[in-house]
Amino acid sequence: MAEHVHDCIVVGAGPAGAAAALQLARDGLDVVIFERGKRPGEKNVMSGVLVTRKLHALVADYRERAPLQRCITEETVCILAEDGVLSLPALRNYRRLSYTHPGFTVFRSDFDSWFAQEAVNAGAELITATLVEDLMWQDGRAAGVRTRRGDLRARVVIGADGVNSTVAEKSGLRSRPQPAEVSLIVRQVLDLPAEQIEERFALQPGEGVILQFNGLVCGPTGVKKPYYTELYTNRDSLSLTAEASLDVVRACGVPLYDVLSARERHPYIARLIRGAELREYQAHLIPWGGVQDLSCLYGDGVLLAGDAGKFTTQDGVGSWTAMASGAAAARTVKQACERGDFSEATLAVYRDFLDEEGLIETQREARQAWLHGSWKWRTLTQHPDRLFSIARRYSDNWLLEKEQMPHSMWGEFYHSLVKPVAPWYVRWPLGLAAWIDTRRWRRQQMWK
Amino acid sequence: METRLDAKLATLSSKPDPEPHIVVQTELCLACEERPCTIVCPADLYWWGNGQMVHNCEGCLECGSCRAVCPHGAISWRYPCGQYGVRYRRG
Repeated sequence: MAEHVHDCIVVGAGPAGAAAALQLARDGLDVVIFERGKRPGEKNVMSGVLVTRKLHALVADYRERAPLQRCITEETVCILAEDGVLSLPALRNYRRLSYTHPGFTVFRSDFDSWFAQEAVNAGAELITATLVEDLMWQDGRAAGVRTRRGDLRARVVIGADGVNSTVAEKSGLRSRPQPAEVSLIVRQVLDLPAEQIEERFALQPGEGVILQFNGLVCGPTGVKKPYYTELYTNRDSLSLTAEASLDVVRACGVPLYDVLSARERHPYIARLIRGAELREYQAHLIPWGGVQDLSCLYGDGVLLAGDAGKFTTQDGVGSWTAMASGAAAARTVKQACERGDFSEATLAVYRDFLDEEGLIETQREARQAWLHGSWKWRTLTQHPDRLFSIARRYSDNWLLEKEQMPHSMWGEFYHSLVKPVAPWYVRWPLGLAAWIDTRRWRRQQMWK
Repeated sequence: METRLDAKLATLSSKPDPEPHIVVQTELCLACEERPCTIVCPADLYWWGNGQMVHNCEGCLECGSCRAVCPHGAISWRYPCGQYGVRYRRG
């Protein structure tokens, strides 16, 4: 490769990289994308929904052209107990179909290829099957990338290479990911004919559901930790995932594939995936907890976008934050190119563009949720068994006969021995004590 | 319909990098009591056998959990070079 200096090199052709390259190519800059897979997306795993709130701004007619699976019209949050499930009120919103930017299930191997192709069509150059191993440095700032197939020079490098970002680590902006700040997802894709999916989940063609299951897993040492499971519908397959932060897996001691197998066995989930055939097993690491320090996102001649910059939301959705941060990085690069200056001080305008995309606020929320736990996370993950037992008592009440409601030991003593014989001045105080004791005791029973 | 890990892994095609992409300094593992890599790896590539750490580079899903979780920084892990490694058809 000759000593031609490109305007910008984007490392990674995922949503962040492709969004940045698309924007830069449209602005008429000379941009090259590096992808380590043979085609974009084949190293990537979709672990949730593609939120299109940025995509529709980048590609207006994406709904006609993008390889989308199903539009999410229903999401249900479920609490998973050992012998049953409690679904919280499901949000079924059929108007979502007419939203300007609803959520979709996608296969990243299809979607990322399409999205990167959009960037190529706009004028970007895509180099696949090439791993960027290091950065080139000149005068203390990044001046290109090094690969096995040769070096390539550029005025600025955008690192969009995922959570294990080579660019972030080689440029010294970040060290290896910390176990508490990343979350591991294992997922399996299960083939099931489209008609059966639509019948089983009460859907029209093109509509899809997500079911979130929150449940505790008890480890070999007796430690109980929350693991997250999701089931969602693709066009003619289902995806079942198990997710937990690495810290949780480490403390609990149960591997995620065992949790996934246990979830497959769970009576409720087993009924939903009955007859589906295992197609593929996947694993992927995602950031969790948002961006800590905004100054870690840019250095001399380097910008980080997407998972590499640890952009995420408090619900762990990274698709739109990736695209939005990619677009913000592209605007930063464009401005730096106009000024001809790629120092850290000039690239600091990245913060302003991120703020305009609404990402600073999102990261703050994500950080808060990570530090203190969002109310949703707390209620759903800390006490699933309790919530389930309360609901069971509530809905099984008509099955229990009134006399069967037992008293505490003091209550039994009072009702069988004291109450029939004792005079009023004994009955009243002992009766009050027995009543209080029984209430306390029943409340204790409820948690068992 | 529960599937075991080996059945799950059998659904994947992967071409190992001729130059190993995971290098473990096994002498550091001797002092490690927790060995979280044996728990977190989603392809079960790490195991403790005969008093030493054994690992396999083939069949890696390229998530990088082992490197993130290792308390002694004993695992040097990189992505397999272009064309090698796992290929998801339904990512």
